[in-house]
Amino acid sequence: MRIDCPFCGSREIVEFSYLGDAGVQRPAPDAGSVFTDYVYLRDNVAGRHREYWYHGSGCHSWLVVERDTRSHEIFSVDYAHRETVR
Amino acid sequence: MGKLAPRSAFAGLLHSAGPSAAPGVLVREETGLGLATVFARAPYFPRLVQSAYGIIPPETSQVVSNGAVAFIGTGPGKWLALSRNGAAGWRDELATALGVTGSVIDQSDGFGVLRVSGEKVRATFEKGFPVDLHPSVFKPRSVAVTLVAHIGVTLWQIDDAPTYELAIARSFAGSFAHWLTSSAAEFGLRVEV
Ligand SMILES: [Zn+2]
Repeated sequence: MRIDCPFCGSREIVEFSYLGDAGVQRPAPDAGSVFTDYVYLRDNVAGRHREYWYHGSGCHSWLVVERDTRSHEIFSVDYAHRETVR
Repeated sequence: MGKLAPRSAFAGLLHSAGPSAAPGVLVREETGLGLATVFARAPYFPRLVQSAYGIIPPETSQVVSNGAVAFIGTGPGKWLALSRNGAAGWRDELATALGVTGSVIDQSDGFGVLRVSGEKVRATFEKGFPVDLHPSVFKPRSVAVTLVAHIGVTLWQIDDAPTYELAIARSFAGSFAHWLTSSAAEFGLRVEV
């Protein structure tokens, strides 16, 4: 599997670290058990999945990658942070 | 007490190898460079670099140089700033020029820099660099931050010869020298001073 980093270009998977689901929203600090779900509960998606990847051996950017978890086909790659200077 | 002398990152680590008659790869350590990691913190950062050095820091994985000073694009809003005028005062000079628009971290003793050229330099780098170095893709001024044999390397191309320079964290200099020597030996590696 290769990821097309918006800064570095196409790089092999060994340069990246995986964080997980990019769709979860951090709840308010006093949200109680909702916070437990936020920390621990994830869907085990078979198909398209938006997820965080970190280009730790390249440009050190956090990326959002949309990937098919069954085929590893990648549909989009973008910076996770809108404020990332370009 | 003996006096401590500065020691370059690759001192004593580079050795010629393989056929010596017409070596395919030439390597030389670039010493006495000023090196700093620079992060842009404000939109007018490029203009301050331009007024100080006459160059605009590239926003892509490219290197821009005025001959003495180069800004090597290593990430979004991040550069390796290199000065061939020496390490002394380089960080302070940059920090003064950029003020609050940039963060500057001295790396002059943190990285070793090699200049590598020769007819077989691409054939050698192909053995370890997981990036496309074909001249239609990677050209003079191109930059790649990547891994070679699990060692972090910042590579940039100087000219069409091709000549490359690369920066490696000082503590990995011995490991990288080992990789380079092993990979270039079949073509002949000559260490230049
Ligand atoms: Zn990258």
